[in-house]
Amino acid sequence: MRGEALLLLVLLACAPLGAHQQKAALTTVRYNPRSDEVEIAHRFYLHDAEHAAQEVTGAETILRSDTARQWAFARYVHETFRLSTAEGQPMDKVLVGVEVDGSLLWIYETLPGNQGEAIAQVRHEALLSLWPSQENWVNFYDSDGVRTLILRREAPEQALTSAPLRPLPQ
Amino acid sequence: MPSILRHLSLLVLALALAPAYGQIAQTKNDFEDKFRQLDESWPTPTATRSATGAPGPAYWQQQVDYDIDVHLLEEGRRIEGEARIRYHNNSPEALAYLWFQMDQNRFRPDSDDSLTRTFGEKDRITYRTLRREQFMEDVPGGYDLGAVTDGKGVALPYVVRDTLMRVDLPKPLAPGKETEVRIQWAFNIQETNATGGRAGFEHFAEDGNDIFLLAQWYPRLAAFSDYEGWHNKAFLGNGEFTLEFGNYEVAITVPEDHVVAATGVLQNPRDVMSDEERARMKAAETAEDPVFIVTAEEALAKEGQRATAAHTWRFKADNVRDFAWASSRKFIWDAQGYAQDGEGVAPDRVMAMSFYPKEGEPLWSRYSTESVIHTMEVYSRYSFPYPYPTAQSVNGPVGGMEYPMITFNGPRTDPHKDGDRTYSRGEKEFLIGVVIHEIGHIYFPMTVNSDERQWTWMDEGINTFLQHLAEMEWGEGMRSDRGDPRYITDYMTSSRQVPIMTNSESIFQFGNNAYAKPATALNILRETILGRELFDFAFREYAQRWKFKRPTPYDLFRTLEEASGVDLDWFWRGWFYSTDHVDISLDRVVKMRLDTSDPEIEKAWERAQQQAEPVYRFGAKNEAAGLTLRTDRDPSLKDLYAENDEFTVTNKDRNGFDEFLEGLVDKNDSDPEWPRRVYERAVEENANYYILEFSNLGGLVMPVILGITYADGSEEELRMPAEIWRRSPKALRKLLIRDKEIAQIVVDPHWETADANVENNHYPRQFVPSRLEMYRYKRKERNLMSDLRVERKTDTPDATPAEGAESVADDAVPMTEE
Repeated sequence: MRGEALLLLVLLACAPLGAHQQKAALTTVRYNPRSDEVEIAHRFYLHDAEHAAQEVTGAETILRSDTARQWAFARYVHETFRLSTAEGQPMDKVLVGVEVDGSLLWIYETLPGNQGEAIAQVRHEALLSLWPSQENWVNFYDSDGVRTLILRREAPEQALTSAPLRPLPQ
Repeated sequence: MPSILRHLSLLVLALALAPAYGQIAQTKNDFEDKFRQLDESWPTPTATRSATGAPGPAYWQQQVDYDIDVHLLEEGRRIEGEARIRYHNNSPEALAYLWFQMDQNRFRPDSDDSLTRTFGEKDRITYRTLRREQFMEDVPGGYDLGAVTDGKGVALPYVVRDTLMRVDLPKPLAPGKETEVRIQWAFNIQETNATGGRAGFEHFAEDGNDIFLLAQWYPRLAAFSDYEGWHNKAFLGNGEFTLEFGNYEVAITVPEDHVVAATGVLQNPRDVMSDEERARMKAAETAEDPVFIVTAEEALAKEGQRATAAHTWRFKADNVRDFAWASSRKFIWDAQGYAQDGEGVAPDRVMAMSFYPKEGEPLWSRYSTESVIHTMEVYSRYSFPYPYPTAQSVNGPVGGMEYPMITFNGPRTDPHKDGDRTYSRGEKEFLIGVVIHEIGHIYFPMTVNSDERQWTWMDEGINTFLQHLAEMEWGEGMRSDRGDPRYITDYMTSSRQVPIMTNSESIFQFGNNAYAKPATALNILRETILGRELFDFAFREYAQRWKFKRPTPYDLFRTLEEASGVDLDWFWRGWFYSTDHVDISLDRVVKMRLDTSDPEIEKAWERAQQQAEPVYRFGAKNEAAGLTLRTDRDPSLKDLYAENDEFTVTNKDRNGFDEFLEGLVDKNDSDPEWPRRVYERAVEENANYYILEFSNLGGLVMPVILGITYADGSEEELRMPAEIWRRSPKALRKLLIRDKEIAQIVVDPHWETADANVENNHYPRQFVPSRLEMYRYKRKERNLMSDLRVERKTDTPDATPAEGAESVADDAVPMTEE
């Protein structure tokens, strides 16, 4: 095989760009000592997600009222949000649930136990292929405060460069 | 290096290292003055912009009037137009040239927008990206310019630079004079779903028709202001625009079977509407509900036709800052008159109208025009009467965009597999919310003419705040998230945000930075800082002062302070100039009591304290084991200590107390006995003293609001202004003196300050469930409209187990964790 890069066509297409779509997702990652798990909460504007859902789920979609389609979108986010260790090993997240709350779509995942300290690399590709201006923010909360990674189409993966995620004080 | 140059370079270095002249800095310790006045950061008031935040006595702005003929070439999806533009120079300066916004040039392959788009995918490319690239290759974008002349047809020199064009005048246009420029142009209309943008066409493959939305479609005079001169910042796609007010007469020629919606009032209905349509419009003026001008059946009938003739729709719009329009044969059209008190400066009747294809039904005919009217009812209450004769909502490929008197709104109902077009509560609220937002923009910034290309938040934030008020007045439990403080906390704790006061093209996360955060800030300012009475007066003052004028952020800040009578510099500094967040922690509560020095009181209290301690069980066990005490067996060993414990009050104690009381004087005061009276009252009241220790972990100073629950179950709310932090912005202690004993204290009990961490708000400490924990208890949203249509299988459930049913004896009983 020659050394040229192979571009893979991906069937994510054609969501219209509205002037007032939010094109932003915000994810929080924090350790919960009560449940002894790292809680991951993804917040999407339904405004964005509904435009994108039909493309990413491959079916006609009324996301707000269709639980099955919400879960399909949640699985898409589950697959496109990846955490890995310093050795490059993907971390096994558990998809817990999805819900619509007002104009927001929430997707919940967990990492069993306090694996926060092992997170070294973060990839969040959800919706990046649909809109050039999509931004996925990930807030890591620990005893030092908050560290935010901004993942965009041109940089969908970043490292947690400072100290590893420590548990919040109990 | 020659010595003189060396000296010069040293001087330059020294100047560069020196603090800027006049800069105020805390150079000892780390104290940060969160309440430092902002005057040093704000522009000096001038004769055009007053220190009160109002337009100054010498305020001026330009006026630009347009007379436009435009043709929509449906087959070629192309616009051809000619404009006669009259520019009125009301400024005190002579203008040698005029700058025009040529926003269609954004779609040229050599535009700044196109050339600065980045591609970051490592191993894939999307169909969307390819679609855009292919469309831009197949359909050349940008303006094709024809003649550019003066009013007599004499060619004027011009230079196009990206999305801007400079037209040089034969001689400088003097103050108070006007000139005419004529421009011919054409461009290919963008397919919105391919290239994005705020206008374009949408093709419906099913019936072969298009919806055309035309905006930013003609050479528009750039703004020229007293504070910036020419607003000639190129369009990169985010920062929208500001323009000059003016009067428009626009003739739009389209296929005969099209319906046209446009900024302004239709001048020739007899030429383009049937007698029946005009009769329906007349009836709609006073109708209680929207009236169809073009019914769904009539629109559907036209979808299979193609007119060969053309109609010219003529519109007139006065005192607007832009003009947009839409055209399609697919449009259903409904209208309803909205009666208002125009206060002598606005129409007493506004025609609220909606235009939409069948794909928008049944949602649009039910809620679009109603939402338009609801918006006017609410917004006018907080600002000014709706200033124009029409307010229109048009469905098409643009998600949401605003222009004077006309808005483009994207939400539709997607058909279910069986063709059913029922809608969920969420879909309905989505449409209502978008229509409110876009119609709201006709107030801000289409009337209060802030510059979105510089400051997105000035119209998006203010408008989202008012949208929140309107949504909260809709009813049926409609949710309104942007504005509710609890939903902004995750964004405000992010470490990578930028302040609200950031240029539009440099913002991260438009939605949170320019919409939700300023809307939340204004909501908190209204509900928590100023109260509704003060805020509503001040905000209405801002709207009235700057209606049909051009405000800057500082005019807003100054007006709200000046009209409310409250110093808000700390609020602007924290919410608009910084990236701090709110996190006030109640770290410790220390309960104290008054040391009366009265031995009768104090010794008794100390004895009671000791007796309240758990009894050392050693003696009881000895007794149970039958062991007796030596002093009981031989009482002669007992002395006075058998009858007096360490808390027995002696005369020595009493004498000391008498001396203490005699010393309670202030001989330096004209009333030397006052300490004694204070002491005696405190003893009599026997109050509880609590010292509360707070820390400001988020950095943003805010009022400290306490919900206090007493041991007897009664409650108190204590609201302390943000100035409590003025000398100690990182931590403070507060003394509470209460008759009753406190059982619980909660900081920000109503979640009204956007406190990011509510777990540290409680005394005693209290766990607050996380979102994920709460999720496990919740139910999901249903499509109630659809579910209610499902027929019950049997009226009376059969007690006989269904065939094949198994025993549930060993199944788990459904339980919910509390």
